[in-house]
Amino acid sequence: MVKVSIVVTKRSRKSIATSTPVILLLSLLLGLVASYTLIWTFSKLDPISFFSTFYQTLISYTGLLEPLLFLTILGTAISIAFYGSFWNVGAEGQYVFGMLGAIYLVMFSPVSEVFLNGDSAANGVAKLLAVISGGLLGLLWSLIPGALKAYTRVSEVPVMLLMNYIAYSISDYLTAGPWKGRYTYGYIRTDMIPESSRLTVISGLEVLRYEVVIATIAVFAIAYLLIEYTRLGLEIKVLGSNPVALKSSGRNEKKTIILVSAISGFIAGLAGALRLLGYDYRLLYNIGDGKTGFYGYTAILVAWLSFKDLRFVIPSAIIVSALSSFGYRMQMFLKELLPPGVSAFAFSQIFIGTTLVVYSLARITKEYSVKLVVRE
Amino acid sequence: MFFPSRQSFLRVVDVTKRFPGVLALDSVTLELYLSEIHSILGENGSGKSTLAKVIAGIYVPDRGYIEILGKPMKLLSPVDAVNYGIYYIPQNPNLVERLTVVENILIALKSYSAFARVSEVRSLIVEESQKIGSLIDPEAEVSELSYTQRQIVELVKASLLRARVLLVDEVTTYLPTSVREKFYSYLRKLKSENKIVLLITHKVSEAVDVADRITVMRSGRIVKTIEKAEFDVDYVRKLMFGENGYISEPPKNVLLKDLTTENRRAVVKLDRVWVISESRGYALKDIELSVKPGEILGVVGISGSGQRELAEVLVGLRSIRSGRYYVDGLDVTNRGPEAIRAAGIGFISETPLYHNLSGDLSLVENLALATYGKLFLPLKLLTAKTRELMEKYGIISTSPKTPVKVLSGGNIMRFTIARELEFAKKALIVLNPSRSLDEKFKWSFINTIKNISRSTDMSVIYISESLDEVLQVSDTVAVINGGRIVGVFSRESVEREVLEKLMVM
Repeated sequence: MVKVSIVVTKRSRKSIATSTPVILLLSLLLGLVASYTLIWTFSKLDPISFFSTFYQTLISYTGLLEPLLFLTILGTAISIAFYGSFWNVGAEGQYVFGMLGAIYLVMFSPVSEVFLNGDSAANGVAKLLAVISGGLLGLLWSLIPGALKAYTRVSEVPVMLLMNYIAYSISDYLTAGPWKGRYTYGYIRTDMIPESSRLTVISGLEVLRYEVVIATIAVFAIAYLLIEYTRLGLEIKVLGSNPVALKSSGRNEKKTIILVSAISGFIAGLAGALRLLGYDYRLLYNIGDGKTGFYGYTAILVAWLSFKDLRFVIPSAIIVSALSSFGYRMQMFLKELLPPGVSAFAFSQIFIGTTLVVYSLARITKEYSVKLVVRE
Repeated sequence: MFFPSRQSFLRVVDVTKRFPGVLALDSVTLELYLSEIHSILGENGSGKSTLAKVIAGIYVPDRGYIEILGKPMKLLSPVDAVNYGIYYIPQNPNLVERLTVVENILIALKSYSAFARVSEVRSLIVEESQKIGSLIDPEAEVSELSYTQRQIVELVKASLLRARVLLVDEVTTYLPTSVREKFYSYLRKLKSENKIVLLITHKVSEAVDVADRITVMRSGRIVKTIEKAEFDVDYVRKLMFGENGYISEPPKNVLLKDLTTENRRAVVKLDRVWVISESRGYALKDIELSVKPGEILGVVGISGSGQRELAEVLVGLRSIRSGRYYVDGLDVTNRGPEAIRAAGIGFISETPLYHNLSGDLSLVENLALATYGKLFLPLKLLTAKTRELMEKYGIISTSPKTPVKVLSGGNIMRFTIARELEFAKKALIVLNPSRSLDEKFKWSFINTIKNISRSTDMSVIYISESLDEVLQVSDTVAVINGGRIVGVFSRESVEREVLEKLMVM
């Protein structure tokens, strides 16, 4: 009898073919081909429109910049957590809390006076405070699952997934209740934040804000320093790879879990604050209905693609923003070609999904060599 | 029908198996006859379990093969072995706690592609367990079963899989005496059914009482296979431990050395410490130990006597149920590793990738974990220090930035030793370091420890399964057996055979 068995062995040597950038690019290409094949079976879309649209998406990069920045900040937040095996799937909730923190400071706290009659220097300081208060609220929100994990060993994943919905509800409660706006033409939403509290548009590149660009660079640089050059960064990495070694070398495991959850939540909160002050300017009701752009969730994908290597957060963020932007563009073509009742939006999600599947499979070949062995 | 008195069923032919740093089996050849109880006897690390696992298809030999009824076989997995009627019963039963007995057995049958009706399995459980003398409820959840009952479930499994060769690995270690007798008579019954029982044990008395033939192993080699007529406890012991380990007379009484009355204060002191075991009961019972500055205390015992638990308690990884633990007079009972480590106590574990190091991180980062840098890591200094340690301890690694997991077992051990010797100031806890060290480095390590302890007044607790090492390194020797310290002696005043007797008692 012929037996076919799959032999999986751990790779002991590294090669260029299995390095992260090669796998990242390869899975992008394979993902594109696979999703084209899938789409073709339903719509008979010609390959030229498909691939030229992708090319168009890449060269008209301005559309990618805004999601790229937010996905980089959030991806960095989640990546740091992943280093410590703190599976932060709650960045969405922390992001919403960041928005709440910012809008509270700008409109409902004593600081709000500054924006109405302060000078520009005072405005600048107040804006910084608003961003930081967003970060702090994100931190508080993330500290709950962090402390639960540290002290009661409750898994952070289900806790955070549920807390995302609680965050949406709290935001909706405030938007429809105490923070409900007066000048909203009957819509349920907060009033717009004062002009003086908004972030600065970059002239010539209207999709960008100076503060967001600076914050992205700063967050990424500090995170990189933290992970590569500090004791805390080292302890986070050891927490993620061997918590027993962390303990037996005399370090406090609980403290490290709490710190990593706090840092991750703070950064996600910053992103929410920047979003509100730079783009949204107000809170909308039913925020869980796509009004966050689901950045907190999409960023999990970014962190996953760059798995435990902060350097790949930016390339991953580029790929993810390109794919989602490509997805929206493709909807135009597909609307015409798809049979009635099939959602073009669903198809736009295929790009991200297929790439992720291909990447996950390719990752296996990074660590292991897989061979088919036939024997009699 | 006529059976020749000896019908060969299985032969192990010239099998060699090497693990990183250890030659576990060295050209082993062994023949098993139908209808015999064959005991493999040896000290820990003699290779007896490895041999059983090779026969069971769990390990694939580097060289040599298994022959069944004269035909060479390739056993690449336990499933292959079960197909030839070979079944391995481990010391710790391999069962799913949350499932019932019947469910567990059905899972096992399924994984070996053997099928049986539920009702059949149920009645077999009742039947077989009665034969052994301890009735088991087939619908009981495994978590409710005692250790003995779990072993019986394993035996039922073997019977359902129609096993002809049963490999019984140190199964009786934890069985109470009354059950042990019933267990032996069950094995004899299997023998009468023309089956083969391979009884792996370190207990001379057990082998002599139960087996038809005994094969004695030492350091991965077969010393001799002897027939029932040659059985003699002293002779077998001599084969097992070598000429030096020959025991003539059991010790009359055990002298417990009183360390508390000595003038110098103990650096590390355990005061009547009890520790819960993961499986059942206590892993450590009423442990009293103390070690003074500059003293090397060897704790010796056969594997599974509580050494690992003792080390984990000393490092702070395991919680103490009752009793106190003092470091330098300071009570650190259940205060975690932080306080203990801060006092300057190093730890070298038998499993460094579990206890000491992060395999994913580099040598430099692992050194940093235990040593320098409060806020920022002085990477230049750390890299230079790593290079220095690599040089000094002969650690082979492509670069100081290589992830530790890529290194060989011996090199990982050397690095752990290097790092902990660098770190430890007050005391050093050592757990079975020699498992992955070669002979030469082992002795130089022992000398290093002795020198450091002499010159810096550092205390050492050297926990090991190897009596040779403990006798070589220690000022004071304690014997641990069944989670208890059964004797503490000064090195000069104790005979080797006294210790051996206590170890296997």
